[in-house]
Amino acid sequence: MHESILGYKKARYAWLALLLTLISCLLYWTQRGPQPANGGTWQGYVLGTAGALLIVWLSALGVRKRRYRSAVGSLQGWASAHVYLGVALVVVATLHCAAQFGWNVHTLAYVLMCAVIASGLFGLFAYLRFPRLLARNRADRARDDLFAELNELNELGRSISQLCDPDVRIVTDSAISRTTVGGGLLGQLCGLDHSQILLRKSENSSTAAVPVANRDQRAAVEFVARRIPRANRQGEAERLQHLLAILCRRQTLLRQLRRDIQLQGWLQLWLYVHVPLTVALLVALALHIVAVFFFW
Amino acid sequence: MQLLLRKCTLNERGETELSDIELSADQITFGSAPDCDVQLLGENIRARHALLRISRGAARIEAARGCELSYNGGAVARAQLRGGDTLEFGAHRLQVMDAPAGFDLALQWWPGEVDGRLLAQAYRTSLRDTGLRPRLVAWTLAIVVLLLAGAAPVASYWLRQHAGAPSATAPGAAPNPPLVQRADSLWLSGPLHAAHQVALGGRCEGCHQTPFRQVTDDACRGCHKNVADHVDGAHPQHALIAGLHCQNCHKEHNEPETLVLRADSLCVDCHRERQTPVRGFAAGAHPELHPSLLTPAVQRLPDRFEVRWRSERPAEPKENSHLRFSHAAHLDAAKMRAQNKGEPLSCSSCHTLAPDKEHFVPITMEKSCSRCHDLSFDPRQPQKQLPHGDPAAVYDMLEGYFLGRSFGVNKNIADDGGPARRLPAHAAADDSCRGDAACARAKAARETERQFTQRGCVTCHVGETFGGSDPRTRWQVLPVRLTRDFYPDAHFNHAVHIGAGSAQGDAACVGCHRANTSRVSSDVLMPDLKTCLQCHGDAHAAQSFPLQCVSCHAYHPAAAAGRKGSNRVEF
Repeated sequence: MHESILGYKKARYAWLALLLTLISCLLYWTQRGPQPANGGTWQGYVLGTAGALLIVWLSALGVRKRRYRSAVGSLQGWASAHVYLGVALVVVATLHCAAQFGWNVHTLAYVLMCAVIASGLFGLFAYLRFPRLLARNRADRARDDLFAELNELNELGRSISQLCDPDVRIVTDSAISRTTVGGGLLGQLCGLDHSQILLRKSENSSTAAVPVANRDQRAAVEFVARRIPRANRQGEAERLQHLLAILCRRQTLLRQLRRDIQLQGWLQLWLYVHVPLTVALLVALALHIVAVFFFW
Repeated sequence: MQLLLRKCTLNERGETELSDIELSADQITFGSAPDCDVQLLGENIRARHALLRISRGAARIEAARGCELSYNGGAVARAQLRGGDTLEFGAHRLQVMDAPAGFDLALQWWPGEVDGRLLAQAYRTSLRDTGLRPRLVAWTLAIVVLLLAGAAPVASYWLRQHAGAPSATAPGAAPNPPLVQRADSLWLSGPLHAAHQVALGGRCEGCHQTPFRQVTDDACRGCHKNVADHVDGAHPQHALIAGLHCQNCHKEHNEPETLVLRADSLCVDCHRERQTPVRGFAAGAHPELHPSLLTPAVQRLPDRFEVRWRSERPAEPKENSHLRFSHAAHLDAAKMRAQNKGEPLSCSSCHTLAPDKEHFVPITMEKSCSRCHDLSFDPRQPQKQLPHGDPAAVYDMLEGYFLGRSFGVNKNIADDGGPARRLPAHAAADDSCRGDAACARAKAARETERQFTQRGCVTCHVGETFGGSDPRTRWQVLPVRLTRDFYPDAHFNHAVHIGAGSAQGDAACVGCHRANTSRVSSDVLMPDLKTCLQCHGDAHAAQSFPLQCVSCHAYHPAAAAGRKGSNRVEF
C-alpha cells in the first residue's frame, strides 16, 4: 500500500523535527538577560550552526535523489525528513536571528530560506493533491492517449468535412488547425484557450472568413449545429450530425488536456522556484557566515 | 507562392488515391502544429519545423532553428528544391515534381504511418517548453547574490583600505565615505549605535580592525579613553571581572538601546552579597546615603597653616569648610529687609547650576558675597576696599592708605580726627599721625589685626594670630574649600528634579536640602535616602518614578583623569 512521505515510518521525522524545535526553543529561552537574544551569543551560534547544517543537508536531497544506487537511506525517508526538518528550520533560523531583520546579507539569507521553504510547502501540497486530480481528470488514461484520440478525431473531422459544403470544410479545418492547447507559462498554468476559427461575418455573406475566438470550441460546435436543420442534400444531415459529435468529443478531450497540462504545470512549477532559490540560498548562507566572522 | 500538394494515400483495396491541395501563401510552413500549412506528425518533428518560400525564382526550404531537414538522404539546415528532390519528415516523404501551369511548385506527399500520440509535440504542454531554464535561473541568482552581497562589500572594504581614508578612531565625527566604499554596510548584522555611527562614519574597520578577529578592548579604548575597570586589580573581587572584555557586556549591532546595560541585575547580582548588601532601591534594600566630605587636616606651622584636604565619608557627616555661614539667616527675607541688606536672597542668588546639570558653579566672594558684604574699612571712604584672599596684601593696602593720610595724599580726609565717625570697634582709630610714617604703619598694623581678629575677615573666616613682628604674615585665615561633589560615585540631574514637582523656586530646593533651618556651616544639607524614596523606588516598587541602579551609579568608575561619568568619550 502506498505510504505518504508525511506518514513514512510512523512520521518518525516529524517527531525528530518536533524535538529539534523544542531544543531550539529551550536554547533560545536561556538567552534571557539584560541583552536581547541575538545570533551572536553562544546559543545563537549553536542555533546558527544547526540551521546551516540543516540547510546543507536539506539541499543534499537534490544530490541523493539523482544517485539511484545510493544506499544511504531510502529516498522516501529522505523526502519525509526533508519536509519535516525543512519546516523545523524556520523555527531554528528564526530563533537564531531572534527576529532581528535589516537590509543586509543576513536577512537576505533568511528571506531566501523562507522562500525556499514556502515553495517546498507548496510543492508538498501539489504532490499530495494534484496527482489524484490528474488521474480523475484523465479518467486514468495517459495524456498521450488523449492526444492520439484527438489526432484521430482531427483526421476524422477533416475527412468528413471534405464531404460537406466548402464553408463547413473551411470552418472545421480552421477549428482544428487553430486549436491551441498549453502554450506559454501563463497559458499552461491558467489553462488559457486562445483557439480560433475562420468564420464569415454573416452566413450569407460572400466576404472572406475572418478569425474569431473559438474558446472551448463553442463557435465550431454552434456553427455545425446551426447547419444541421438546413441540410437539404442527401446524407448531409447525417454527415453534419457525425461531424458535430466529433467536435463535441474534441471539446471534451481538449478540456481534459488543458486541465491536465495546467495541473502538471503547477506540479512542476514549485521546483522551478525551489531549486534556483536553494542555490541562491546556499550562496547567501556562505556569505552570511563569512560576513559574520569577517566583522567578528 | 502557389503550391500544389498532391497527397497520395492507399485505400482499403490497396489502390493509390490522389487528392490535391492548393496552397497560396507567401511562405508555406511545415510542422506538427495544426496551424501549419502542412501538418506533419512524427518523431522529432517540431511544431514549426521548416519554411518554404520562393526566392529569386527558386524554391528554398529552411529548417527552423535547432531542426534538421532530411534532404535526398542527407541532413541539412536548408536546401534549394529541384525536380526529383526528396524531403523526409519522420515517416512522411515529399518529392518535388514538375509544377503544373499556374503553380510555382508541386510536391507529392506520401504520408507515413503516424502515431497519433505524437500530436502532443505540436503543442507546448510542459513548463520545459516555455523557455524557463531552472539551471539558468539558479546560476543567475547565485551570481547576482555573490556580486551584490559578496563581491561589492569586499571591494568597498578594500577600496577604503587603499584610498587613504582617515582613521576611524581619530577624534571627532568622521565623514561618511563615498557610496561605493559603503557597500559593506550590507554585512552589518544590525543597527549601529547612533554615537558610533557619527564617530565612525560607516568605517567598519574603526572597531573591526583585523578581519576575522574579534573586536579588541583597545579598539574601544581608542575613543573611550577615560573608562576604567569596575574595580582595579588590587580589589579582592577583581577576579570576577578579570576575563571580561568590553564585548561581553556591550553588544554592538544588537539593539542600540541595550548597548549600555541598564538592568539592576548587573549590580545587585554581585552587590547583594557584599558587606553592604544592595538588592534594589527601596527602604531596607539600599544602604543609607553617606555623603563624601572634604575633610581638612590642618598643620599649624610657625608662620602659616598647611592644610591637606581628603575626601571622606564619615558616619556622622559634619562639614568643616573653615567658613562661617548660616543658610537660614541668608534665606530669612524679613531679616534681610530689616537690616536693609537689599533684596531678600533666594537659593539661586548664590547657587548657579553648572552645565552638567548636576553640580553648581563654585561660589566665590567676588561673585556672590561681595554683592552684599563689602570689605571697606573706613566709613569715610567706603569705596576703599580691602583685597580678598591675600592676607599680606591686606596690610600692604592699609599701610599705603594710612601713609597717604599722614602725608596729606588724601586731602579731603586729613588725618586729624576730622569728620570720621567713631565706630564701636575703632576705639583708637583716630590717632593723629600727621607727618609720622611710623605712626601710620602702626595704625595700619592695628587695623590689620582688627580685621583678622575682631571684625571683617573673621565674620566669615576662621583667623589665627602667628608669632613674628611682620604684620604681613602675622595674621592668617584657614583656607576655605567647599565640597563640590557629595556623591562622587553617583550622578544626578538637578534640572530634572527642580522642574519635576509642583514646588517652584526655593521651595523646590529646600524640599530636599533643608537650608532654611540650617544655622551653622557644619550642617550637611544633603537629602537622605528617605527623601529620595518619597518619589522613587526600583522596578518592583509602586512609586511614580522607578529608578534603576544606573540611573544614579556608573558601572565604570571615574578613571585616572578623575572625570565623573567615565563612560563619556574623550576626544
